[in-house]
Amino acid sequence: MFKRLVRPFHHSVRAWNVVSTESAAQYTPKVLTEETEVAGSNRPLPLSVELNHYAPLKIPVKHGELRAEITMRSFDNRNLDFFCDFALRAGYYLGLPLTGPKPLETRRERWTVIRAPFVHAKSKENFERRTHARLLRVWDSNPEVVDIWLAVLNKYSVTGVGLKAHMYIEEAVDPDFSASTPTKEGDIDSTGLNIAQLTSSVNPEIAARVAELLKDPEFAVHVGKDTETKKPTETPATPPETS
Amino acid sequence: MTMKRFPIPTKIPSTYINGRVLRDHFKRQQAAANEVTVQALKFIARNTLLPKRTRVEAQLQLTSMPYYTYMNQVSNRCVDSGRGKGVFRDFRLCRTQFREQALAGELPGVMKGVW
Repeated sequence: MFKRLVRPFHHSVRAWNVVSTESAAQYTPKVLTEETEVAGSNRPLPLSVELNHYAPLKIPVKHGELRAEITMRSFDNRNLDFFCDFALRAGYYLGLPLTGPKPLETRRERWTVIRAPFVHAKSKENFERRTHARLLRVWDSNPEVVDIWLAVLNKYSVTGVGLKAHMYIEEAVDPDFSASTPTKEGDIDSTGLNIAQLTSSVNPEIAARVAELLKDPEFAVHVGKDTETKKPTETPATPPETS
Repeated sequence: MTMKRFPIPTKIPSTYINGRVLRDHFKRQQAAANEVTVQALKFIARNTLLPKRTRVEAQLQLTSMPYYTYMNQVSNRCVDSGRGKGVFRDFRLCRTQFREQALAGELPGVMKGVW
């Protein structure tokens, strides 16, 4: 439970109706003020609610180890900025050192179409779609906490804002090459080819179909009849007939 | 639901329907159903380690497959009008449908371009 002792300096000029990340003032408490009850309820405004009228608080990055990168995209920047703000606040209360939102490049897709359904090709109309993007970075934290944070963001997601998360986990280098190079064992057919090894690079579904086809009677007929498999000494070269 | 106009039972698409749309949908289904076989035959035909007769046999089987099993027979069609030309891949709509729906605000984020 927060015990509030200090109030911000510019307490009276806060904007009640606008919550925006750019114009919000920093929360820099300097003056000790008394708690006043909110009209209609017999208790004071919670500190976490009052903090909504200031820029989100951030936990400083200490070790600089990147744990996750969250990219949010939207066709409209209003919901996007609001959701970034929410994500920063939620991360603060979970104890995540966050940086951002870093505005990424706005993607502009443009289409030009002919106005009329038939002929009149000189009269055209332009359409445009802008995709705004913001990047949030999470530092020095446990993946479990990041997962909780992402679950919160997923639960309280906003209309029209997409979210993509890249999570980074550091692991000790312990190479074990025996497991990474599996030796494909397959029966060698009458032509002396290991089909399993031949098809090791293709999709397993296709590889299975190749093996199935080669066992098919239509293909099996040709096995051993190939002239190229014979040694050149067995087929004496016939001199071209001269007439 | 299946139809009798094609040699193989075929599903009806959920989009706008006309004859050309049905034909294209039939080809899509058949191309998908035969994809593994076509890829396997191509693998056999192109793999130089395999015996030559086997490769020729694979090539013959490939050429004897019906035209509708080839992916290059498939062409994109407008899902709302069935038009075959001027279809935007992003929206699967032809230019007139795209314009009408964009002006009606039915395509998220698409606005009149002013620059």
